[in-house]
Amino acid sequence: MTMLRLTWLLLAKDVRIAARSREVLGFMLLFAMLCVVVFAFGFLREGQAAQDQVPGVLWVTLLFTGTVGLLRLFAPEEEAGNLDLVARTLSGTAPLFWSKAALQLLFSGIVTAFLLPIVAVFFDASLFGLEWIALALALGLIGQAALGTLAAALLAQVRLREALLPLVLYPLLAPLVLGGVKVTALALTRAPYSAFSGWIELMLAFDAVVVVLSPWLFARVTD
Amino acid sequence: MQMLRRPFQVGWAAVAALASSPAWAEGAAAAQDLSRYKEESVPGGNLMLIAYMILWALLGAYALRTALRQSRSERDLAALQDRLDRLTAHPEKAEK
Amino acid sequence: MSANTANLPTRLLAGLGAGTLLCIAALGWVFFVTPADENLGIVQKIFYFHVGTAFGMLLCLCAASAAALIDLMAPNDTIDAAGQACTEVGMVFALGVLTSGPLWARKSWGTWWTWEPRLTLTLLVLLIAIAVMVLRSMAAEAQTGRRIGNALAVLAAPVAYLIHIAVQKWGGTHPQVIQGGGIQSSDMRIAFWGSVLALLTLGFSLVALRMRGIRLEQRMAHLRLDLSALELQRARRGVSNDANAT
Repeated sequence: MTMLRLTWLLLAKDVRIAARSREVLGFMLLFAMLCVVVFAFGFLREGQAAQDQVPGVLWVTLLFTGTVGLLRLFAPEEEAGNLDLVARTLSGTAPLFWSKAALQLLFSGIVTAFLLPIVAVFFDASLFGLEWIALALALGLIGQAALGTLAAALLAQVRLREALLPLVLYPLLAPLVLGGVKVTALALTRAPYSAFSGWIELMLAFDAVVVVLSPWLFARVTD
Repeated sequence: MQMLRRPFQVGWAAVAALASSPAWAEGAAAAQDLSRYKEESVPGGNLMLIAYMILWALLGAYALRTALRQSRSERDLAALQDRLDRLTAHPEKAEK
Repeated sequence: MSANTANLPTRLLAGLGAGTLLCIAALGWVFFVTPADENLGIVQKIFYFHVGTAFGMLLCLCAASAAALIDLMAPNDTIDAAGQACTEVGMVFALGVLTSGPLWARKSWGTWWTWEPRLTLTLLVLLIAIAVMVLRSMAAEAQTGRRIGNALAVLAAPVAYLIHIAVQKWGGTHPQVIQGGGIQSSDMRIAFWGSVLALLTLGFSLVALRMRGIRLEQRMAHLRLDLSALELQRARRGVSNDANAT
């Protein structure tokens, strides 16, 4: 069986599990909604939104919501107590890593699709039709999924993981969040690509680093 | 412990002397003519002293904590080694 | 107690003593020989040790990442002890940078904190170092903690470099004040490099001191295992003796 096929099978299995219980995705969507509402409490003045709040609300909500998904990413294996076993039987951890990262990407992609119209309506922003925002979101979600899958695997073997995941994840994701906020802000003002090309490149570099390093480190901690 | 603590005590004494001695302030002012900084609203000298004191307090506290922990480890290690030796050399004596 | 620390190797004591003496000498030079900065005044004297501390932090944390990488590829207790010691000393230095930085900023920029690139980077790097240490200590087994702490420390190095670029672009419109308000004379240059040398010597000997402590703790863990194995064996023998007697 090729690696790609194995990855696909594992992903399909996880999607089936998720579809049966509908817990994780449902909770992520609900949590994203709650985040936006809470941000509205904090940031809106007399019911009016300032444009420069929109990027922050969008990216911080995605950061928080991603954490919710990541905390449950390895739940099926943990409940069965066979994370090591799964990794070993597959003769290599790459399929496991990529299927989990793909699952996280799928979930956070769905959350984003749900979040964009909500933020657009509640904060009165025209987020659509801006291809650079879409690109920044894609880069951000890919980086978060790759780094987050590794972080979730590290924390699968640790106490107090709910408290620790943000500590591990948020400082490391700083380049993605800063870049995402900047690109979104500049794209909203219809700035030319050259105004934020550096940020896009930085996000690309970050993704390249974590996409290469995370599965390599993942193999060394699940052995 | 004494051997280790002394250099730090000397260091502390030096910083404390620098910090507290009015002669130092006068001497420095005379040597460097600081009169023109007198009008400034933010007391830069105090900030600097606080910065140095915190830095040395941090380093000193870390060194002290490390040294204390280490001497405790050494004691524990010696006790462990002792028990292990007795257990392997004279198993019947260690029964008691 | 003195009997115990008398066991400290002479080289280690010599290193600590040399570091402390160098620091005192550098302090003396900074305060009594070097003139005050022409624009910033006396507060500029923070600069010498502030930058030295930042150098020490960077060196320690880079070394910690390198040690983590080596230990991850080929586990080695000494390398692991070095990595842990470097992480700890790096954190102490980072705390030093993060306290002296704002105190200096209060005077020269008129505010306690700005999201100036270097301060931001230091803060994030300190948070990551804390994460590495906490992750390690929270694992159920020591060996697991070692592996996952190492994995995070390895990832932290390239990511910290990207954070460095990011915060520089982010705080990019900020006036670049540092370089000490400029080193204006050769006395200042001597004070600067003297302080850096003194702090690095002190930092290096602190790492060596802590490393020795970690090695002791490692040896203790091994001995505990041996001891419990022996005791188990003895208990078993005792049980079988009792069985024979009855």
